[in-house]
Amino acid sequence: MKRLLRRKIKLGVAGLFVGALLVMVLPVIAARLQAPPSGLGLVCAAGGPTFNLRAADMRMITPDGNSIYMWGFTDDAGPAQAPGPTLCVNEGDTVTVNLTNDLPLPVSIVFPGQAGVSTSGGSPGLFTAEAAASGGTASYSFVAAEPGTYLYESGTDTHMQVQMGLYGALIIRPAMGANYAYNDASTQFAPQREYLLMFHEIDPLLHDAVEHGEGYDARLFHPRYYTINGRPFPDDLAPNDAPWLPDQPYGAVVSVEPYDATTNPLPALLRFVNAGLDSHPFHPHGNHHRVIAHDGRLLQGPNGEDGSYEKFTLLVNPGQTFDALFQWYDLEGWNSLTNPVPVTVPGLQNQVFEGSWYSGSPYLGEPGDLPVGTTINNECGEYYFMWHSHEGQEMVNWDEGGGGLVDWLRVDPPGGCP
Amino acid sequence: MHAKMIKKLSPGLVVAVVAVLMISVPVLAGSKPASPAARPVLQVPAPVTVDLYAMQGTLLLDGGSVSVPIWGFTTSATGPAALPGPVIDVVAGSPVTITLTNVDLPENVSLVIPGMDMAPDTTGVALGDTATYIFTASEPGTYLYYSGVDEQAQMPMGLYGAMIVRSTTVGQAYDDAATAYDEEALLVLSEIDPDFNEAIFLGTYGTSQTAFDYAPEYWLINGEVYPDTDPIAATSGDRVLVRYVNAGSREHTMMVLGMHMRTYAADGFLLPSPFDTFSPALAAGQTQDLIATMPTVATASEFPLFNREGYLNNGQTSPGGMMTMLQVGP
Repeated sequence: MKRLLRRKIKLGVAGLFVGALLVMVLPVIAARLQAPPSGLGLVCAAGGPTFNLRAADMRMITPDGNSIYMWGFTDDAGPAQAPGPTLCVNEGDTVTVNLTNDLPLPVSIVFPGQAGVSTSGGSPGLFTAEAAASGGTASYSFVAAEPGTYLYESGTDTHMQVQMGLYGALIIRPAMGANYAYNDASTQFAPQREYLLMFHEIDPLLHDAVEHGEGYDARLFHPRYYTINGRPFPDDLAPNDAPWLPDQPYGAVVSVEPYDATTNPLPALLRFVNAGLDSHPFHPHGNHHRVIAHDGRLLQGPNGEDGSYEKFTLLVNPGQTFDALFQWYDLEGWNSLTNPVPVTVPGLQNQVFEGSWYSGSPYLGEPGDLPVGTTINNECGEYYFMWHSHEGQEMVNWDEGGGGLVDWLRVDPPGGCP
Repeated sequence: MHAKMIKKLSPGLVVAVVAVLMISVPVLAGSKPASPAARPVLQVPAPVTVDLYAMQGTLLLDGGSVSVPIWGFTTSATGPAALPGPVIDVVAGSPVTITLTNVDLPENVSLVIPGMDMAPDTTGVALGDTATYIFTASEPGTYLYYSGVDEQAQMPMGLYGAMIVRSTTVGQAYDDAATAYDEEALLVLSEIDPDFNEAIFLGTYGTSQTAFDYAPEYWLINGEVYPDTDPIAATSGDRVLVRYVNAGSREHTMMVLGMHMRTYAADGFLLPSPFDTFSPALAAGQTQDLIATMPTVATASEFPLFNREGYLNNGQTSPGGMMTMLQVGP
């Protein structure tokens, strides 16, 4: 995060100054509304609709300094990644996934929600064709007939191999266009405001047993880490491709700007996928989001009526996906000049912060004063909301609070941060 | 064992059903089944009496390698106890009389059927006594019945079963043509913790084991674990009705590969907006009715139907657990 110099805003002079600035920069602000902070949002793997994936291993880094042996998919020659590469294809594409297995046990890939998956190579497993250990291959092919949010995961010893990390997201974009979630005008979302939120749990003791060839006793499953896009909080706040998380390339921060009927009318799209073995009640704290689809199917009434609904807690069960649209409304319109908060802010000597995402003022886009010595994570007066699993025991890193399945919603002032 | 494919009809209705099949065969052969409008065969409610017996028994799992003490319902006064209990199958509108005899259980046993218009009995009857329950099964749907006494112990012991109330229109799950089906499967989901059941059997429950210690090791569909679970056989294009009953104490999300299923009802209630899913989630005690149209296949194909919480082990070994296959022929 960038450090920010504290700014003092003197109301009188600032009012004139800001007013003049606004007149000059309004056109610039309008153009900037489509520029979210860099390094956020859903990242599609390169290539497609034919993908070459390897099943490999790697070590995952946790915020409490742990290093956990993981399995996962990757589309390059290096270690596996968690989650696997997000595969993005278009409706109607023939998708082919060529799997090479560098792990010491047979693996496979299944595509829940896809019909007509054919296989070639490999040998028959319980669910699908399997690639043999240590270099075996198998291929999977299907037509991406229905747009939506899906997952792919190992179909071999699923309770063990998916827990080890063999999972990823599959996005099928509708014929209507890449900025629609489904073939329905109501599913249009703001460009560059597309977010994958993929859940998973990790039992490090079972991973340790697998690493040391001690077998896997599913009865002992006891997760200690909970991840969004492969990262426990607060690592999920780091941007995509953060260099200190080389095998966990996806961040999870959701970023929006306030709704405006003219300049910012489109919502963000949230794609939820639960690749774990536990259900997770995801809570966009302080907000509702509108759930529009489930398991890759638009929610509609029997005659095509809008079947979407608003939730402030969405229970995502293992293997399920949901799509939700999200907009943030500046309902109060607090403004230091025209509509100040009607309370007296305590003096700095009476304020205490331990690491601050707070800007020092309640006004969107107007950072205020913070006590000397405060670590400042706020960039330009944006708001942060803590979005999280509402199961308290999942908001931990190995039983220490302040971790787990927690994320930030970031609401930037109109125009974004400079 | 407990057949997954249900074609249970009381004798008086067999003629009607046979008539349906005879009329429909030319349409069914080699093509999609006739639309509901073409087979408006009705079945009528009629008084039904079911004599249930609650008794101790033994459950054999995993090819007989595991033996667990159970308590179960049965329609035979001499047993054996069944897990799950016998399916109670009536036409909507039927007056139902159920007698429940506590054959040899050391505590009271009763009958509770959530969603059914009957007073819940949490007192029950002692060893040797019989309770009588009289109610009208007015609404079509899929229901769970179980003992309402000391539930946290008696349900894990096995005192549960399914009740099906059928629409008066044959071949429909509800009084809605959209719920027409060709094949039907009942999946009663549950778990077994051998140590828990052993403690109850030995009378040490409450000291050596309590409900807090419930830790299932076996995950059942209709009283079996994979690979002994019955597959569901169907044909390309068939509409298969899957009736889920979660008689366990855990949530179970049943993923299916290769297709979506449409959830039409939950807890015996037809949903105003059915929705498609490949991962229906059943909370403990819930029932759901889903219908899936079987994919077109060139050769006999298997589509896995499995628990996505990962309950796919029999004790320490896998594959096992709460898993079966949809076997679809061309």
